[in-house]
Amino acid sequence: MIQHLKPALAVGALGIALMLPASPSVAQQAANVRPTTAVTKAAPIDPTAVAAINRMGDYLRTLKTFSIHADTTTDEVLPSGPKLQFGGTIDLTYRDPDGVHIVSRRDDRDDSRFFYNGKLLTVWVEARKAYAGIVAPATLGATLELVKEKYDVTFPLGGVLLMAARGDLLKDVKAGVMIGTGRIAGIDCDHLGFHQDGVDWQIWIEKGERPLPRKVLITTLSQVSQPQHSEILTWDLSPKIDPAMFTFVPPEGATRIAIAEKKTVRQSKATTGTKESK
Amino acid sequence: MTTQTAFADSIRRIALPLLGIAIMCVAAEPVLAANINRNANVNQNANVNRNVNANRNVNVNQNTNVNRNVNVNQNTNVNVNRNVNVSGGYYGPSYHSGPSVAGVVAATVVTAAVVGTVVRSLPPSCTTVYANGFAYQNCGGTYYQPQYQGSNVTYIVVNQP
Repeated sequence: MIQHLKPALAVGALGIALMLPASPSVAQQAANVRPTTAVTKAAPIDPTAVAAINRMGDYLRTLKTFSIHADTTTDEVLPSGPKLQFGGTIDLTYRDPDGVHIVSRRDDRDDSRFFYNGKLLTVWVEARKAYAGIVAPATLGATLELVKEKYDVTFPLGGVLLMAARGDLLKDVKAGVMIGTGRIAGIDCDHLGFHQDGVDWQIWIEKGERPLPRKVLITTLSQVSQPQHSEILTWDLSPKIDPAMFTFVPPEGATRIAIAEKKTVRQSKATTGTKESK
Repeated sequence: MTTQTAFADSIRRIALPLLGIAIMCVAAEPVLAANINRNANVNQNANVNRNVNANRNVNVNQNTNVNRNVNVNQNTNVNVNRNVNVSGGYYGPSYHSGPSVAGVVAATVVTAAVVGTVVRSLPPSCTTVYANGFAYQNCGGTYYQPQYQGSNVTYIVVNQP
């Protein structure tokens, strides 16, 4: 962090140093204001952090298939104050451009299974014999955007998929910084930190030829106790793919249920004041 | 936490150069003031103008420093306690901290029949009703529609379908 901040600070210091002897003439002062203003307006997003994210995205887009096993932890906050942590796993298989299969498990939840095949996006909860589906856009990127805008659904490993689908992970980022080197599962990674409204997230990206995300840590700032969600990712870049795995076929006795839309949640909050917001 | 330590550590290390800059600025002010005063002796009108300009210059310098501080502080606050807006439609890493388990249970007890109420489990003795291609639950005259929400199946109270 210090390393990359140094140049910026040096420029700032240089700007100030140049200005100090100035001031005899109005013209000179005006001339001196400009570069300083430019420094002032410089984005608070560290270019090296942006470059690292873009490099990861570029690499992910070269992958035709991959699978990820993620070990996750998720904090839940009780109204009385205590913060609990639940473990889980996510197993994802991806085939460019329109095949996704995800099994998401959490200690405090029923298992969810996601299917996307370029036509339909379906979630299957076997424990309830229930599935919810939408007619989805033909591309994964558009589908992720649709889910984000319209539905109150958490898409497991959505950020990684968004990058693989040519999306912009940094769209809402307000600040970002390259922190340094971190070791995840014995692998040297670049450790980056980002801030956006209500959320801080950190990511560890493998150094070297395969800039893969190895860990993601998300901190929710909108709650006082700042619950966190972490994912440690293990990658397989040549997984076995069964084309049928991307299409959901309702088993006997399965019932179709709705997918919560964002509006519904707000209404329920407004009318009842319940804390349900998942 | 290591991250916090890393942040805090880097802040501490950055603080020194920043302090250096701050000192430079402070040191600068007397110089500027001296100029202004000297000019005041020559011409009062011109003096006013220069005064303004000189001050502006100083302010700009200070702004630069402040902004830099903000950058660093934001990253610090990340780990400390910055109250920011409720997360809207961000997608980056998709995580909404969920409702607490106890909160949902409480909701089940307190607000059973208000349309729009969301609960995680149904009261006892429900019957399944099919309408519009979806399955609903009739629990003593209150209708619940199961829905996939967040990363879970929840039930929202609806009018009779």
